[in-house]
Amino acid sequence: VNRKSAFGKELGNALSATVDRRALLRKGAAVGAAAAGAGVLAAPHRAMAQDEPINLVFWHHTYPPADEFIQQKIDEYTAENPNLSIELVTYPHGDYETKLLAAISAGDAPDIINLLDYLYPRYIARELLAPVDPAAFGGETMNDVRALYVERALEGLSADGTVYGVPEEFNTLCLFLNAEHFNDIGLDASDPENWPETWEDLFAVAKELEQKDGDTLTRIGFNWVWNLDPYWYAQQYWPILRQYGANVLDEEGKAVIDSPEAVAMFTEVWQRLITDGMGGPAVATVNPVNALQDFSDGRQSMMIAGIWAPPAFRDNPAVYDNYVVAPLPQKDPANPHTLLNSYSLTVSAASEHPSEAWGFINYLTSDSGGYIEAAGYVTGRKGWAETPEAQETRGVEIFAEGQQHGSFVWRSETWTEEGTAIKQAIENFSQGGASVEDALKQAAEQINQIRGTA
Amino acid sequence: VAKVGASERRRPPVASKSWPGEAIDIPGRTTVVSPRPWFTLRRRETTWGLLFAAPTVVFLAVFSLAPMAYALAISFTRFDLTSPPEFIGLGNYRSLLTDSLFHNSLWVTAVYVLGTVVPVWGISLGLAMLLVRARVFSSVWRTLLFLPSVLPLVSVALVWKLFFHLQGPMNDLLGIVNVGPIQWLTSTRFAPLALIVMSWWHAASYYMVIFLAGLLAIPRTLYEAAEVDGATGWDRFRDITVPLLRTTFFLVIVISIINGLRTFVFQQVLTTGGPGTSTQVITLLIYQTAFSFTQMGRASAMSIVLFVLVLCFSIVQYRLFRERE
Repeated sequence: VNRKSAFGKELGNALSATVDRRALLRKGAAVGAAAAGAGVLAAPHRAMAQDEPINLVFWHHTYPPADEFIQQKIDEYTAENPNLSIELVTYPHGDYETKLLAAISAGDAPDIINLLDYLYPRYIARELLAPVDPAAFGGETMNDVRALYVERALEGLSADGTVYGVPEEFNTLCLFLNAEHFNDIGLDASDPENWPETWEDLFAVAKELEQKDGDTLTRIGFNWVWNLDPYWYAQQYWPILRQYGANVLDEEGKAVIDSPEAVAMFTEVWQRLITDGMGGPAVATVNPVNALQDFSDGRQSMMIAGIWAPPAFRDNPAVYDNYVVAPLPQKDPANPHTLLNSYSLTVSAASEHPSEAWGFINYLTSDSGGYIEAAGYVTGRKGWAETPEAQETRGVEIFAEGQQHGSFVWRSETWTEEGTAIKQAIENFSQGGASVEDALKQAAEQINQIRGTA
Repeated sequence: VAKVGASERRRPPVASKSWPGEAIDIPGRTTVVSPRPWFTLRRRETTWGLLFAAPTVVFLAVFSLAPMAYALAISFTRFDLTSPPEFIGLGNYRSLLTDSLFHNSLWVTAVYVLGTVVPVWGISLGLAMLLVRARVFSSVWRTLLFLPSVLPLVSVALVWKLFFHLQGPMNDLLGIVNVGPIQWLTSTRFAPLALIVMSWWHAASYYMVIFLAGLLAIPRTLYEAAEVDGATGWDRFRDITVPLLRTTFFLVIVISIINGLRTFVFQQVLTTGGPGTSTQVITLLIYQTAFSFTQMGRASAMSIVLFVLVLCFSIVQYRLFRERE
């Protein structure tokens, strides 16, 4: 039923709408994808795939451990499918979105796209993504694809009952501790009793962990990730906002980022680090390729990160051998709230070979064990936590538990603009002397202006 | 039929009106002006001139005029790069009137231009005057001082980013006089200043060369005569250097203000417009609006406003200088 309605909708759109040539081609590709999914064109398409050389372009954000693993899987897959070649292109996370949009607008969209979940509303609304092809996942309906994944893993990648992408990473963020640093202050980091349960606990232990040479911080107890893109900020503040019962938008879509709860959260948690002189952007190393540089180098004792983080500091045994994963601190530990996010894989609506693209995505993401071992990525497939590789990963049960209490960041077609307004507000109060209340009020006004809800 | 010689051709014809090749009646003689070749020297020179200019004209048309015309056209539309533009008239321009980010970027740009160009005029003129007087290794000094202008902007910005680090050389220098450490790039108060200081270093060398050319064009005899008349150094500077450098001043002022308004790389590399929006100059906002927010129509409207600003500046300055001349 899903396939037929998707096919009918696309066909209707393609026939009735007055569109330009590129839009028509896109729709044609989507119609083709739906028809192929329905089995109408499946047989001839597969025959063509076997005979004619097919080249797929795969864009991924730069993350060396993952990029190496993907290249290895590409080599395996193309060896099995000699008519297929896949070109992996990587760009740093910070530039990735801009370059992707530029490529799409120039009619040069890659076939396989690595896309963060918050961008789905914008991309889906502009018909830039092809729906998941269930046949490529060995199923017949979207529900067959959903059945492959843990609960809520596809939630951030769907719209109106259609799934447009699958996770390469289905993440939650936890707290990483440097056990050696904890030892320095007489605490055993492997003992859950010593894990900071609340934000108050976190700042108290962070103060103990820091080291100074005169006035200069030589070891930071805890710090946020600063000066990167708006989504990096959102990953950190979103779960804490939810812990405080705050939100970015209300049910009518109006900005409520200046609510008393949000002001309290940013004052008591985010700004606390600055007012207590424990961290801040001035002492943070900003590295777009490794946002966790200070923890990786052993200059920071605690950080908030995902299960993907350890491969980034595998080359530093002093840190890699001594890290411990603890749950994300909470305002109220009895009612935990965490983040869910997904750096996903999807197929461009303009791809001429969507079935082949989805086929490779299925092949790639079905190796949950390989992914977690090589890159620390949780594919979100059922059974990921039970793979031998996951079992050998420190803190896997903490991450699996964290996934149970998380939510994706707010959905909006203008997310980037809204996220930027909040990032600027954070910088205005933490780096510019503005009051938290005024900065958030300004952000709310900007968001309402962006959304037309002023 | 006698041919009219060159000297005769130069004589004014008797007929009140004549055209090349037309018969002219001269009393007592039947004369016909020989058909004048179409491809005259003047036409030949014009044709060659056009041919020589054609590559540049085509280049400017394709890479400057056409994009400008396209930007003007899409400034009247809502266009997100991924769907066809939708005509909205002056909607983008109207929205700029109430856009606090746009107003902020105009203010940040104005502060940057003012903070950068005014000191740079003095610094670059001072350096040029020192170079004119340099007797030893003058070529070496000139090369060294011009070096910042030819270095790639991104590399320069990255070096200065390290320089401005909390534990970087700038704070080490200030530490000697018990100042700081200053959060150069991570505070809204100091980040604009850091960019201005860096721009002095980079821009001064470029304008120094222009001033140097102007100074070298002033005849030495004027200074010598003034010296004989007992003029002091300041007198010579005020009464000879400044008046004769007026054209150079005009050039430097116009170019430096235009370059200041167009600044982008330093802000993008060092601060990406932050912290907050403290260094978000208008070009950076245009870039962000176009490529991060994919609002090409709105970004184009901002570009047109910037273009008009630059044009107005240039016209006003040109008129002011022309009146003084």
